[in-house]
Amino acid sequence: MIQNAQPKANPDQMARRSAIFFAVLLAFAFLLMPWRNATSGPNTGMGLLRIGTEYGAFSLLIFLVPLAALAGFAAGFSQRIAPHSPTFFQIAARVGGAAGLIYVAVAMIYGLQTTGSVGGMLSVQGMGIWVTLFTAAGLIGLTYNPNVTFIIVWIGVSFFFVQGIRREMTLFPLWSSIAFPMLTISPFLVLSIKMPRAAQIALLVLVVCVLLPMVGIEDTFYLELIIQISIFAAMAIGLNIVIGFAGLLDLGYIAFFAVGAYLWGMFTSTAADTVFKTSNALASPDAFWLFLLLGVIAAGITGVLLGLPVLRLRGDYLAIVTLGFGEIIRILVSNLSNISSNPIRRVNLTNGAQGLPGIAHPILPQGLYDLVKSIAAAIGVPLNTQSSVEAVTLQLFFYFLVLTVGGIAVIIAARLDNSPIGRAWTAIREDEVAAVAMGVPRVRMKLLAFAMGASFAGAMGVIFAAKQSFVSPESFSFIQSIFILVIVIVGGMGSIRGVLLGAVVVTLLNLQVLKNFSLLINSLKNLDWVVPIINFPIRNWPSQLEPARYERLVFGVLLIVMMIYRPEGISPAKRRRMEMQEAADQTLEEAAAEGAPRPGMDKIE
Amino acid sequence: MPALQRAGNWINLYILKPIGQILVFVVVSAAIMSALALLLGAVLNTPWHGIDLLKTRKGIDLFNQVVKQLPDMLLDGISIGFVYAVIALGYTMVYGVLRFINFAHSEIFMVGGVIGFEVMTRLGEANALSTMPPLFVILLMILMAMAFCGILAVVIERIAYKPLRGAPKLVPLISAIGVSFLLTDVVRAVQALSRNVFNMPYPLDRVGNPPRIFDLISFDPITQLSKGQQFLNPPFLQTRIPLVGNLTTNMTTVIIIVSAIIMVVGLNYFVNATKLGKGIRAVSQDQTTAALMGINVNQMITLTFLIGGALGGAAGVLFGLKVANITPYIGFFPGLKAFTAAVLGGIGNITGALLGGILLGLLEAFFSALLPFFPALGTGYSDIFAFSVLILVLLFRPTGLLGKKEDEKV
Repeated sequence: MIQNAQPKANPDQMARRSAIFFAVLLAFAFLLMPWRNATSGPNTGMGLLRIGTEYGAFSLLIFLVPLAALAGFAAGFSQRIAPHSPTFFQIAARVGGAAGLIYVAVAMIYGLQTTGSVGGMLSVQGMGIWVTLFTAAGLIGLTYNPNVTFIIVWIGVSFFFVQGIRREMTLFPLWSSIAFPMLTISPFLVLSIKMPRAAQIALLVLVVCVLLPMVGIEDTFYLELIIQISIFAAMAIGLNIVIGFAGLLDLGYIAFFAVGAYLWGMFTSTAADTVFKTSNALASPDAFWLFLLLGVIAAGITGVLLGLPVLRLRGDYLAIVTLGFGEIIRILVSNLSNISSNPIRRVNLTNGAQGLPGIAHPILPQGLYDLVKSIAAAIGVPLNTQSSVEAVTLQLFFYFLVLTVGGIAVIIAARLDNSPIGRAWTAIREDEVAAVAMGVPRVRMKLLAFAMGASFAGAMGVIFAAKQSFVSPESFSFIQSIFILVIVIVGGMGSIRGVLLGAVVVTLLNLQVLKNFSLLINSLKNLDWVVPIINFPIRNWPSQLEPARYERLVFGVLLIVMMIYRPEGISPAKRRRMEMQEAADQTLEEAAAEGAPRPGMDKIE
Repeated sequence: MPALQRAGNWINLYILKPIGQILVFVVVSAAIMSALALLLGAVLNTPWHGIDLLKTRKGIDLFNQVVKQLPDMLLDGISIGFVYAVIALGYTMVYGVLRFINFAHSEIFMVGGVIGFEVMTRLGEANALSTMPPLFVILLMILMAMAFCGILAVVIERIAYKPLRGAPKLVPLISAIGVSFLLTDVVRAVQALSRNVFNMPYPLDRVGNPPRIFDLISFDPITQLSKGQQFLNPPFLQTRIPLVGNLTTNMTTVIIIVSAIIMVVGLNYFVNATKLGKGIRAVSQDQTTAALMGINVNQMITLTFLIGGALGGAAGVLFGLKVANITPYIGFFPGLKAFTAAVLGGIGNITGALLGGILLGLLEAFFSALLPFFPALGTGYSDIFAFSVLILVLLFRPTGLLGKKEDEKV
C-alpha cells in the first residue's frame, strides 16, 4: 500500500463511488423509518412523513454522518471534476447529493420542531455519543483524505443500521441481511481503498476486534455468524494453498477438518469409551492447546498420506479420488463405533452416526468472564445470568482464537506464496512437466501443499469440536467440502484476500441471507402481504419452497455462473489479473488459434 | 445369395459378436469373483489369523454361507453391474469426446429414475398400470426417461459446458459439480411441490395386476401399498423365472439384464456401424482434424451428450425398478460407482465401461452379502469398496483394464 495522504483520485472513479454512496444513502432515507415504527405499532409509516416522531429522530441522527460526508464529496467534486464534461455518474452524484441534502434539511427542521432540542435528539437510544464520534472522525478524515471519510461513514452507517434493527420488527430479516453483510464487508473496503497504512490497520482492528464482537454480544446469532465465517475463512485459506497455489483440486478437504474435530472429540467426549477402556474422558480440558498442535500435525500427516498415492494423477482424476477419500473418512467415522468381533469387548471410537456429545472446551480464567461481563454492561447489554456470561465469554474466546489462528494462517499463506516454495507451486500448477524439467522437486512440493492445506483444517477442526461440544459425521459430508470450494472459487483462487472475502460472502449467504429469506416470507405471510405489481398474495407461497432449504441450488447456480462469467473470482490474484490484461491485449483469433487458456484463469490440472 | 450372406454377416458382427463378448465378460468375471469369494470363505472360515477385524460371527460357517449365497450374489451383482455399466457408458462417451468428467451425469441418472417414477405413478393414478401390458409399461418408462434425460443432458451441455470449452480442465468440472447440485435441488423442489414428499416409491406391485374392485374406488399407490394391499395375482415383477436347475430369479433382474444388453448392443452398433457413430469416433480422436474432414464437431458433441443422457435416464429407471425407491439424493453413490466402473475398465472405452460395470456390480453384491458376517466391520462399510477400488485402480493401472496409455502432450 502506498503511503500517500492525498491520493490522486481518478475523477470518474470518485464520482462513481460517490454516486453509489448517495444511492445507498437515499435508500436508507426510505428504509429508516419503518423499522422504528415497527417497534411501537403497526407498520404504516412512510419514511419522510414519520420523521417528526420520537423514533424519527433516531433516523435523523444517522443523517448527520452522511451530511459530513456529503460536504466532503461536494468539495472534492468542485475541484477535481469541474474541467470535464459531466458524465452519467457525475450527474447522478450531484442529483443524489442534492436530494440527500434536501431530505436531511427537511428532516432536521421537523425533528427540531417536535423534540425541541438538539441535545434531546442526540440522547435517543444512547446513540448520540457514537454518532458524534463518527461524525468527528468523518470530518477529520475529510480534511486530508476523502477515502477515509467514505469508509468511516460506511462503517458508521452499517454499524448503526445493525444496532438499530430489532428482532421484533416485521422486516427484521430483510434489514438484517442488508445491514450485517454491510458491516462484515467493510474490512475489505478498507483494504481495497487507498489510504495510509496506519488508518487501514486502525479501521480493520476497529471493525474486526471491536464493532463485530460488540454486535455479537448484543445478539448472539451474529456472534455465531462471525465465528463460522472465521472458521470457514481459515479453512478456505488452507484449501486455497492446495487449489489456488499448487493447482490440485481437492474435493474431500473436509476430511482433514474431521480429523481435527474427532481427534479432540474422541479424547474428551463423554460418550466414547476409547481404546483404553476408561469410562471417563481421556484428556483433560487443559490439554486443548496441546491438542490444537496435535490436530495440526495429525491432519498434516493425513494430508501426506492422501498425497502420496494420488501424486501421479491428473487434475480431474485427482478431484474424484480426493472426493472418494473424503467419503471414506466420513464412512469410517460413522462406523468406528464398534471395532471388535467380540460383543463384550466393544470398542467405541466415534459413537457412529449419533456423534460425540459433551466434548470439552478449554477452561478460561475467571478474570475473562468478569471482563466480558463488565464490557457487556458498559455497552448497555447486561448479561444477567451466569450461564449467559459463560456462553458469551466462551464464544468470544473462540472468535478471537479463530481470528488468531486464521491470522497466522493468512500470514503463513502470504509468506509461502512469495517464497521459493510458492514459486515452485506456481510452476507445478502452470506446467508440471516444465517445472520438473527445471528441477522443481515435484513430489516434495505437492506433498507439502497437501500437508499445509490439511493442517489448517485440522486446527480448525479441533476448535470447531471444542466450540460445538458435539461432532457427528453429518458435519463432514461432501456438501461441506463443496461449500469450502465455493468459497475459494467465488473469492478468487490463489488470492488470499479474495478467499477471505469469499468466506464472508458465501457463509453469510448460506447461514444468514437464505435463512432470513425464509423468516421474511413467514413474517410477510403473517401480515398477509400482497406483492404489488404482480398481485401475488405471499401466503400462497408454498411452504415447501423455503429458501433456507435450497442451499445446494444456490451453490450450484453460483458455481455455474462464476465459471461462465468470472472464473477468476470476485477478487482475483494479481498474477491472474495480469494474465487477464495480457490476454485482452492479444486478439481473440490469436488466442483461439493458439488454444490459449481463458483469460484470467490458470491452467490447473 | 449375397443379400442373405450380408444380413448374416451383419447379424454376426453387430449382434452376435457383442452379445458373445458380453457373455464372456459376465462369465469370466463371475467365475473369477466366485473363486475369490470361495477362497476368502475358506481362508477366513477359522480365526487362525488372530485378526480381530476379520473374525466372523460365532457359529457361522463362512464357506458354507458363501456357497449357499453364491447364485443370489451373482445374479444380484450382474443385474446391478449392468445398471452401472449403462451409467458408465454415459461417463465414458463424454470423456472420450471432450476429455471431461461429466460430474452431473449421476444427477441425470437420478432424474431418469424420477421420470420412471412419474410415468409409473401417473399410470397408476389413471388406473392404467394394472391393465396395460407390463412390458409395455416398462418400455414406456424407459423411453420417456431416455427422451427426457437425453434432452436434459443436451440442454446442460449447451448452457453450462459449451461456453467453457477450451478453458482449463477444472473449469468445466466445477461447473458440472454446480449442475449436479442444482439438479438435485430442482428435483427436490418439484417433488416437494407436487407430492410433498422426497421419497418416490415405485408402485411395482401394481404392474399388470388388477386390484380388487373396492380398491379401485380410491387408490393411492403411495399410502395404500404400505398397508399390505391384496392383489389378485402375484405381482408381475416378482414372477420367478427358472434358470439352470432349480435356480430361479425374478422378473426385474431379467428385465434389467435384457434391456441393458439391448442398449449396449444398440450403442455398439450406433458407434461402430453408422455414419454418425463414425463422426463421434473421429471427434474423440482429434477434434481439429475431424472438423477439417467436414464433421460438425458441435453436432457430434451434442449427439454424445444426447446418447449419454439417454443411457443415464434408462439406467435410472432400471435402478428404480431394482431398488423400488428413489430420492433426489440417490444419484451420488451409483454415479460414483459407475464412474469407478468407467475408470476400472479404462475411461473413454465403451467395452471397458461394460467390463468395469459388471466387475464392480459383482464386487458390490459380494461385499454387501458377506460383510454382515463380520461383526467388527458391518454393512456400514459397503460403500467404501467402490472408492477403494477406484483409488487402487488409479494407483496401479491408471489407464484401466482395457485402456490405452495416452501420452502427455508437452
